[in-house]
Amino acid sequence: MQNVRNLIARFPFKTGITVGFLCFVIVRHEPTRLGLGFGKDSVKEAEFYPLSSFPMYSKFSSNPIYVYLTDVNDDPIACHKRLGVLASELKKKYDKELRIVAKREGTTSISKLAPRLKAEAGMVTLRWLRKERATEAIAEQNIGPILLHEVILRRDEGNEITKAITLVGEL
Amino acid sequence: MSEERQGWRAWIHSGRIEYAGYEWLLMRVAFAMVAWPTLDARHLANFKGLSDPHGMAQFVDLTWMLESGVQAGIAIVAVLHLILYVLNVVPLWACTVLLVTQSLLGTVVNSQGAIHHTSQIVSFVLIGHVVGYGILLCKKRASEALDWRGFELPGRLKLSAPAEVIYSCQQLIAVAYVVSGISKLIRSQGEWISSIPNIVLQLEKTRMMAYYNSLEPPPETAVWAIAMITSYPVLAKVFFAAGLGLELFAFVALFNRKFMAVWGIALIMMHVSITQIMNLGFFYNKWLLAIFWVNVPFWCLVVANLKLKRGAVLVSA
Repeated sequence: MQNVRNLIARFPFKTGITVGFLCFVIVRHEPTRLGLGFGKDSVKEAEFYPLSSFPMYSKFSSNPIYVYLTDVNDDPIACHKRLGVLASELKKKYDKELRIVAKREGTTSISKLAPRLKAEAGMVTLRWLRKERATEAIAEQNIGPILLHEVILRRDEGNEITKAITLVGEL
Repeated sequence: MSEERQGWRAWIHSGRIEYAGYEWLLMRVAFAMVAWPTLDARHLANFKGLSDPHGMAQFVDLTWMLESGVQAGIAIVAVLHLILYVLNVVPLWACTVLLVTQSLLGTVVNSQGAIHHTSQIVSFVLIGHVVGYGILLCKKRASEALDWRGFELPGRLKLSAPAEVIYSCQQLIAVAYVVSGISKLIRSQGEWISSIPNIVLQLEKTRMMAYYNSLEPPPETAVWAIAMITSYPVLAKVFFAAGLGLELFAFVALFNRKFMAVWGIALIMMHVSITQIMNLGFFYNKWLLAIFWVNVPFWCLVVANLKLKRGAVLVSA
């Protein structure tokens, strides 16, 4: 009986559950909003550093996206080595812009967006890269026009991985 | 915790764990060294603004943190408070300053248009420190949280450490894993395990993103993992289900030292395998588990004592 009491006493009732619950709180400014991220679409919104719902790899999409950069000769640009921007950061930015466009257009499937809408998100991402995130690196290396390519991965019937590559911006 | 119990009872016995002063000192030194890169404000030098304000930056303008003079000042403040923390001088104040500093830096990084979780577990452990020392204040043990003369003298290393603070840090590490597990169940609507075959696409994605970071050949282990998961999907589901179980039930590890050591090693191994396959570092997770859960120095001492006892028995025989 003492053992059971000890086990219950060690359960993180106070600190653990309180902080765990706070991790799912959504705080938004303009419009000010306070909510709970316990829904499948809202859990990702529960981010308020230092708290987080840690949603990474919480869903394995059947058509994930990644992006890469090339120059006008179609030679890839090492985004971290040359621009100081991780490919994952670039992808997250593009993904975020895609979701903004998709929401405006009233759709949830970002992979099925029309090419012109994807290009809109691509251009915002490239502007962010040139004007804010890697301005100095691009200027120092005198890098000309940068092309952003989107790759959608899928599994075919034989479980082989297929890639659909689309040019989504040039700046 | 009573360590005298033998056999299987020793494994399931739970209760308050007492920590020696030397364990707490080693934990603090190791944590300060691991946490330092997340407190070094000079890594903000690459940023030009806060294009997508996140967290506190939505309410308060934090662009002042991008000025180079300010960054050097923040780094100095962080170093001074890390030293205070290691020396156990006004620990509640030191940990609060470190938490606020780390949170502001993390907020600026996450306000660049993409959310990163790499160093978030460090903030969780800092929250654990602040909460733990807050509990000491509530228990009218303010001297332990606010003492100016708390630094360890050699004689004090044998005394007990504030178990509430250490337990609070351990809890917060567990919280990070449990929350991550719950998010997986919510976002996938309970189908996380059944969607495991799609992880091959994630592996290929991270492999290619690693390539486009540097244009150097990506790790071949991912190719091997893709082939294995495609060939043995059921085995892959069992493997990843075990990982999800480790996350969801991470709080079970808090029951005693042995559970925490075994669970901590299992989680570190999970991170090591993810690093090999997906090229994701999990540097902070691995180290904080090793420091606060596995508690390597304690087990080294246990093994050394066992050897000494066996040696004494052999000599007397």
